[in-house]
Amino acid sequence: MTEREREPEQELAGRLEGLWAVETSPDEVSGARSAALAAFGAVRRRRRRRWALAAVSAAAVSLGAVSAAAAQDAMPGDATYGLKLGMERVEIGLARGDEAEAEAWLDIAETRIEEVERAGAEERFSLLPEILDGYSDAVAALRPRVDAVEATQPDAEVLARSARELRIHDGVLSALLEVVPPQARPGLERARDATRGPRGDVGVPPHVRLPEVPPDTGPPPTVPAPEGEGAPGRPPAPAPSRETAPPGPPEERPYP
Amino acid sequence: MDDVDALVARARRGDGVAFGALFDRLHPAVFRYLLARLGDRHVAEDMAAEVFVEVAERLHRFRGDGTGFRSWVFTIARHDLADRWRAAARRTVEPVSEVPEVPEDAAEPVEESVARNLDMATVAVGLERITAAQREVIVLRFASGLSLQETASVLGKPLTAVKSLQHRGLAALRRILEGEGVNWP
Repeated sequence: MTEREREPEQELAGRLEGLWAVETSPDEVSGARSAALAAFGAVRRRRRRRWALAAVSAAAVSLGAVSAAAAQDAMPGDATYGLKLGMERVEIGLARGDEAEAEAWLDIAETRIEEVERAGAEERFSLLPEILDGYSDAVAALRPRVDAVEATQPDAEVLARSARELRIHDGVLSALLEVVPPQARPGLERARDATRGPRGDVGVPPHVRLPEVPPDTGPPPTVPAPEGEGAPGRPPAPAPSRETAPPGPPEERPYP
Repeated sequence: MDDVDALVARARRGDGVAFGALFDRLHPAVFRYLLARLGDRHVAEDMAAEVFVEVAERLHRFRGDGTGFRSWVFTIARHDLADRWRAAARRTVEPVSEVPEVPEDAAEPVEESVARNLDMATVAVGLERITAAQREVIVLRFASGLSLQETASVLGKPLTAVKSLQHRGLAALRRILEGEGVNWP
């Protein structure tokens, strides 16, 4: 392409750069930073608490901290997976009240999703049925507790966290549907349905009525889509391998 | 990106200072990415904040280095956009168009002007009419300010493919904007 032919493109590129050279207001940036750091701190506290519970559980069955740490990364079929599930039962047993129980079941659902992501990334699809059953059970236990909290504490943090996490889980399960063998699809679809709940969607206020809409709807089609490479209007599917790695020693260490 | 590698490793171990530094490093690029896609500054600010809350909540599950981390953050932003549009398409309370419209206080209403200036809302609509791959390159390059190599790393594509997508994307976008009556000097 000649320099002359490039001029219109370079002109457009320059105009786009100028158009988008917008700074956020300092107050907005500060607020966003605070919210992100608050979420980071909350996650760190939750994981410390879970690790502490794991250590207590491991001590109760005369196992050491190393075994507890190994169990936290266990997958179905691993020798310590039963211990991992046992520690989760201890966590549920120690939770008091709907809010604490909802947090605990949400933690367990999160753990099952981590296992799903790992099984998908490692193409260990035979593990999915057991993991997805555990996920569906966790979400089934979570929902009535979230409903109970919503009825009495509509501003409780666990409600926002639950809506946010379930939406993320929906995305993870939907993405995996595109890569798993056909025999694994029904289990994934059931788990995704569990994520979406009786309203058929994730994180939508109860007063909003929802029509039947295909799950992969992109932006409202106000203009016809052009032809070209890829599918216009749809974001690329996530790459599970970017978020998980082949198994290795646990990277997280107990916090002091 | 060695320092980002170190920041990611520290943040995954629970270092809040490192996470704050990652936020400072990436928030402007993510905000401008969302701004380009949404055409609305305030919505883009809100969504950028949500993206980083999600990054904070999922960081413990991230496996990768600094380059992979940036790609992962933009993937979260793209997914959040898709979720937003899906949710808007499903609502029946009020038909909500998430595709930005030309603001009421635009310099000149389209019907009163033969040609108009480039504005964010018009560009956002135009971007939705090119392919997803072209759109990602254009937005990452000219909104988020990534270099060609950085864009290739974020998208996981060869450099030559990114150059080609940029060229074709700009050409297609320009044709679309000309069709919308955008003024070219």
